[in-house]
Amino acid sequence: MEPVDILIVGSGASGAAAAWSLSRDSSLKIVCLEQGGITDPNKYPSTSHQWELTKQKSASFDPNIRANKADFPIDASDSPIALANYNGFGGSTILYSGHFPRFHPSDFAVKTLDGVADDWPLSYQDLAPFFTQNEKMMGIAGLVGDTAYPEYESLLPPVPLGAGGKRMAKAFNKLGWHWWPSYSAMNTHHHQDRPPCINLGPCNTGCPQGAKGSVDITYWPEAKKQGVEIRTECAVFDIVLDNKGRAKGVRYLDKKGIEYFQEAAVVLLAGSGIGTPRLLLNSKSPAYPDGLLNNNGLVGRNLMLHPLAYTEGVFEQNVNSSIGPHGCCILSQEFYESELKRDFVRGYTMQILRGTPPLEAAMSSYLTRRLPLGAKHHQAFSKIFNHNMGIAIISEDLPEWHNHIELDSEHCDSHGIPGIKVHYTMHENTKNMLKHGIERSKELFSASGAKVVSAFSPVKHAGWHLMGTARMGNDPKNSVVNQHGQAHAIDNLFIVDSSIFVTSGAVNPVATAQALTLKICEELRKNIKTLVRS
Amino acid sequence: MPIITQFLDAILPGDIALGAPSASELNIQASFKEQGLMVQMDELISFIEKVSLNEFNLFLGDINIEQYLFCVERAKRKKVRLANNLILHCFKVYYTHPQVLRGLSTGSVPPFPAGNTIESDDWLTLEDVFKRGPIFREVP
Repeated sequence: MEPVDILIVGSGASGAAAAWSLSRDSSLKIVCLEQGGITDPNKYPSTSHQWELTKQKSASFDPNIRANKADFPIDASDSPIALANYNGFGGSTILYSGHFPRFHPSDFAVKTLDGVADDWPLSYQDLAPFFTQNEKMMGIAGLVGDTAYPEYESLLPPVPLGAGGKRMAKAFNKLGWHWWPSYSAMNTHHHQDRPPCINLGPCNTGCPQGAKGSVDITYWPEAKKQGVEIRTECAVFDIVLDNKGRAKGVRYLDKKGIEYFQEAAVVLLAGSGIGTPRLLLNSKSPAYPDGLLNNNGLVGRNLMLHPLAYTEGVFEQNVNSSIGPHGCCILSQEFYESELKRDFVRGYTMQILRGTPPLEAAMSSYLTRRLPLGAKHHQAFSKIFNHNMGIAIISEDLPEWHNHIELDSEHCDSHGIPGIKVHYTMHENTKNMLKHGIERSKELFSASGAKVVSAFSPVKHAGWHLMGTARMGNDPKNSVVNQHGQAHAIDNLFIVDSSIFVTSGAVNPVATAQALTLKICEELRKNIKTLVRS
Repeated sequence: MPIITQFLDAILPGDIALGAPSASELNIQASFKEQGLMVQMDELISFIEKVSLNEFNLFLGDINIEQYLFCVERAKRKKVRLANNLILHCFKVYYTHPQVLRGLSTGSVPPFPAGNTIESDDWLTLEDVFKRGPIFREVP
């Protein structure tokens, strides 16, 4: 197998952005290895009326339930939150909701501002041009002028609020709280050869229309045109070092289980906040007996998950809430920044969610004793379905050493590569934050005229946002990579995904992960000779 | 199968006014066999009959729908996991059936040939937010 200039591991949000950015230099030979297969949008669950059943099985966001060949077991029995992901071409963007806000300026300086955790080795301003570039590539809808952010340059028109969203917007105004139409990876008009959203709802099982900006249809077509080779169903299990201690390439298994070695001048990891540390921990050698880059024991540590609280309200009137992109309606940053009078530092986002689809509405209301059986069933259901809205509280999760993942050799994937075990507890700060968020959510529903029917935290199956497990920083003693995403210990090994986040912010991380990737890759592309010794 | 039909008619009867078919009309009975749930179903129905004999001194074939539902609720108290597993199975088949989805005003029904329209917004409603000015923190 011929050596390549750059080898990317993972084709998800960050891997795709990296492939596109790096391949703008046509002289670079780039290969991306993806452990999962390619999904066919024509076969996405929502092309069938049984899509809600598929969502609970083969399209589940829980890899233990989905159990595809590319999935690795995740034991979350020592965590109140189960992890979610998707292993396949396009990564978790295939199943994500498309909620796409940026981190805020304060998120990069929490130590300076609030005396907690650490500052990032870069600022919001450093990332600003890459946020803009990424939003253009991904097709982000929203509205400029948001008072919770420095100015955005341009966005596609916002996703419509719908009758339920309008009621929530009025409630925010009544309380004098910030709200803004969601930043959404949804085409609201024809953009980059993709059609507009037609307001169906089931974005979380893949968008067959191609309106949701998942990277298989945003970055990848361009990256392929620019010459990147993608090899799917190739599970990387070891990063190999040369006799000088530099990355020489990777070993991987194809779908038949045949082992290959791919040599590369630069290895770039984009396997997510759990996939990347899993690979590093599995790459053991005499120089790194506890896993590659793990001499300070940092790999897999400081796992941050964004614990969620959820509150559901039901309107007396039908607000057609099952229609439209479920996760993209309104967000509020009223309680995002620290305030002295509260019993927690940092803050949270309130994400307004549209109503649940029929089966989910029936099952959840039955199990919470709101939906009777018998003659009154349909009448009661008609007052829940299309009448309900949700509020998710996305809390900032501070990095803590004891929150970590480790290899689980007792539970391996289909190739015999170890799965992972998660050890995670919620900090008191987070618990207080979620409690505050639930109280404010109830207040908001009350102002909107909706009756609160459910409120709880943490949401168990909501560990989508996986961050911090190979953190970046200036000091090699307490970080794995530097501000260029370059491993402190190995100059031709880079990490670009959310595992390098220093802190978690309190918004969905994908916009920031991709902007960070674009920044790192532009620097790498332009300075490859000075950054990486030949 | 008639025994399962009685169960279905009790828990998910039809509602003509709301355009909701009964579960038995949709032949949900067959799905129990397809999903290998017949043994569980037999166990639950036997238990429901036991309740019926205790409470009404009648076999299931001799009680009315209200009495049947009463027995189901009582059975749930003792066999909650078994009962909920089977009831949720009925929901899964019922609430993904195209006939039910069309009757529910879910908008466009998969495979979604048409899509749905949501009325446009008046963004002047954001004026209040805008007037309060920036709320993000500057970093020194």
